[in-house]
Amino acid sequence: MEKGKGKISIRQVMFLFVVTVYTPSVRFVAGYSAGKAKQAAWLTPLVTLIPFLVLIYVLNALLQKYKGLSFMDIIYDVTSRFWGKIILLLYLVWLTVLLALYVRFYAERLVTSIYPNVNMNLFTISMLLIVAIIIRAGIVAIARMNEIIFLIELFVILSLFLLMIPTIKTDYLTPISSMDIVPVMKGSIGNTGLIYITYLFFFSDRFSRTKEFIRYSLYAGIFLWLVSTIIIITSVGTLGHSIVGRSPLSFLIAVKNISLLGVLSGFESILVASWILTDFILIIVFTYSIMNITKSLLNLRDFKPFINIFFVILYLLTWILGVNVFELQAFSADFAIQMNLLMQVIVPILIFFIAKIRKKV
Amino acid sequence: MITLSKVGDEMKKIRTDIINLNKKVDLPMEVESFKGLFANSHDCVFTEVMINKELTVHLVFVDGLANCTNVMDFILKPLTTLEKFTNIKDEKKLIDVIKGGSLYYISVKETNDVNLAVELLLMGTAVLILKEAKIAFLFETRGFESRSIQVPTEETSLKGSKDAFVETLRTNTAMLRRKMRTPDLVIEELIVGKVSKTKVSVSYIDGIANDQLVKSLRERLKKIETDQVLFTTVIEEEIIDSQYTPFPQVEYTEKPDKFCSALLEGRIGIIIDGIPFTMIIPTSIVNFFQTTDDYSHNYIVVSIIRGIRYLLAAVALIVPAFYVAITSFHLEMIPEGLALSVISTEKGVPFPIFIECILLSIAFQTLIEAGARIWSSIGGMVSLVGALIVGEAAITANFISPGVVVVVAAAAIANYTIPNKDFAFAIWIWEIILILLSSVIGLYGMVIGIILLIHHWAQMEVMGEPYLAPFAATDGRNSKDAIIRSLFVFKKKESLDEQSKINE
Repeated sequence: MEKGKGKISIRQVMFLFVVTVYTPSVRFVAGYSAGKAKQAAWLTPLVTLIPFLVLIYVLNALLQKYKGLSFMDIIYDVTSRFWGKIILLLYLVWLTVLLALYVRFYAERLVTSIYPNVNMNLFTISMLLIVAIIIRAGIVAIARMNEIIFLIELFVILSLFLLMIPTIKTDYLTPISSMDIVPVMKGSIGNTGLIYITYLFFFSDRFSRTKEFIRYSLYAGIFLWLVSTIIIITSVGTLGHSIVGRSPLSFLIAVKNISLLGVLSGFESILVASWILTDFILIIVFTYSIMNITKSLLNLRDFKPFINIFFVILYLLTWILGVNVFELQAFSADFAIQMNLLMQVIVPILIFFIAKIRKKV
Repeated sequence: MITLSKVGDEMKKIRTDIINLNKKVDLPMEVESFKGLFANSHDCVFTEVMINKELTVHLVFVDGLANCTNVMDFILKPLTTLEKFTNIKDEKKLIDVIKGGSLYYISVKETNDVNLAVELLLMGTAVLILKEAKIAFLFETRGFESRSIQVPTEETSLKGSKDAFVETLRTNTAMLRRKMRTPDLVIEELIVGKVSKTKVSVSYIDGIANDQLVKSLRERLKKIETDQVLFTTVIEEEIIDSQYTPFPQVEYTEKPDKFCSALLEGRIGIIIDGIPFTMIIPTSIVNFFQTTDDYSHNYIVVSIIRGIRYLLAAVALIVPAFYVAITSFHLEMIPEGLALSVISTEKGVPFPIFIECILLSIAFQTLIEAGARIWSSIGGMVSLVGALIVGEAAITANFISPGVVVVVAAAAIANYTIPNKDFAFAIWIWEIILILLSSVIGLYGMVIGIILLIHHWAQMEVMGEPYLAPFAATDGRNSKDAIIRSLFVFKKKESLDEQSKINE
């Protein structure tokens, strides 16, 4: 059980981390990696483990030093209140943009996969409405929900992987040589840009059992490495890197190719259904982080009255971001990944170094 | 003081006070006080016992509650025949003789409190009133007719014990003691209900059960303000945290072995006098998928069966909604042959698929309800008529398509595999909700329904314990026995207290 009321354990945090990373991974990782590393794309998650381990070390050092405090409080203490507010404002703006991107992607994905000719507003508004209702239950209920959704997701991904094994062609995944080192490194940027663990630290004051952070982070890292590799292997192995590199929903197309005993097909419906679950978790977790930043920036006691206003802004932003899915993809690959690298990897490392210089950690 | 002459209206008022307000009344310890209180009750027996010519006492007991043979043989007979009594000239001497143990009865109590005497009288005690001394002796003569221990009717067991709880509290607690011969088994008792004054027992294993949990339950039970505890929900609704849910939060059992097993897990049991079903708390979702037979069979077989139970519960919940979504919105997702088959079976049916599903699902529940309520002599007719109407006539008349019958029947049968019927019924309610949501916007609606259901479960707690445990919120503890039943040799009995220590 969670220690204390309103707290979640590190294990639950890691489940949140895994599910929030899984959602964009399915959509983005295979295409990005295949575009850069071709047939060696399936090795890119392995390289991502290196920056992940560095980030884990940094975050653990901060977490152990500032027990019971949120990332906002850590930034204030390390950089001063003024600079802290500026950094947090940047985080707020970027996370809002990122969330708008994901809300739009989620709606686009539904329309392009199983709901052609349906107005996207239906999906956007209904999802925001549900998130607005459920977020009021707090992070404890969200973390519990996520644990169940994680189990469903695990079952779905493993089942699909087993069913897709016959469709995987090893020719699409080989040969691998030393010539692939640089492309694999480039391809791993896509994975690295999705390490969303830093964003979860905006509610690190709600974490309990922080001593187990390293252990569970390693488990989560290994799990994500395996899942990302499975996604890439099944996508590239079924369709080939040239198709995967160009198609927006390569994993869905690969799943469409499944035919059990030549009779049963249509497994993409299960995949799409599971995506809605993980998209929900991603949206609600990011919203919770944004709400916590807002609360800290504006010195609010409670963020609940602000939720409805925020969702109106977010809804408008989802339409400003791009006209169609291609613009969104371009925004995602050319800007969002780099920004993510900066905000979730480089900034925490910088804060750690400043803290070191100031002998705070 | 109320004089004895004011029996009429005064007594009625006092009686009302006792019943409605649980108020203590100030009455003298005289037989007239009892006669006033039980003026119209023909089952209350007032006997004047003439010990000798100079000494008369009164004996009061409730016929049916007290054992008349015991009253005669161990109270009346010695008082009127033994020389040590017949020679007594005054009440003072009589008191000394009784106190000296000449009326050899196990439990004898002396009192001058009418309230206490009335309370015990209604539990089967015989009251011997000594008018001059204004005291009474209370003899524990309880002995009413009760059902003997029988085979459980609702929880069948293949290899487990075959005894079931009965309506008598003391018989039930004795069954517990027989199964667990340890002084650590604590059986506390409280009286709940202003009118019924029902005995409610709280059982737990000292050292295993969480002290805070026991204390919290005790307080909740003490706070109950009700006239009667004739039904379990009177207690249940007062001790649960989430009121607005169809999902059960208390586990019921009629099997003492299951009850004892729950106590050993650190949970708390409640036995209500007069009800052959006991309650166990706290509960979580996993408890509703387990049976006592799980521990009587091979662990590999049981683990597979448990896994199937969860899978079938998911089938019962999702499959009808999935069918509605796919056939109404996403026909392109199913193989061509299957899609054509579905379309052909729908020809001529006037209702949309979701209406068919809901109607048929309700029809199945109607059959179950009818089967449960109907007289046993014509019970077989329900299934016959049901099968004819639902299975044959409805299809022939083009009311319902065969595809829908197959899907809803599969879901209904899957639902029956859930061991806990309250949980199964709650799943059925959510099945209908999911069908409605998927009828609005297909697969998306169904998933939204699932999100809402998971959220509903995630918010629920029973006495502070998460409803989704051990699948969520327990950090993996206690998950060993959730789906895969571990071998007993490897099963560590981890008490809740130990768990809380780990949490620290």
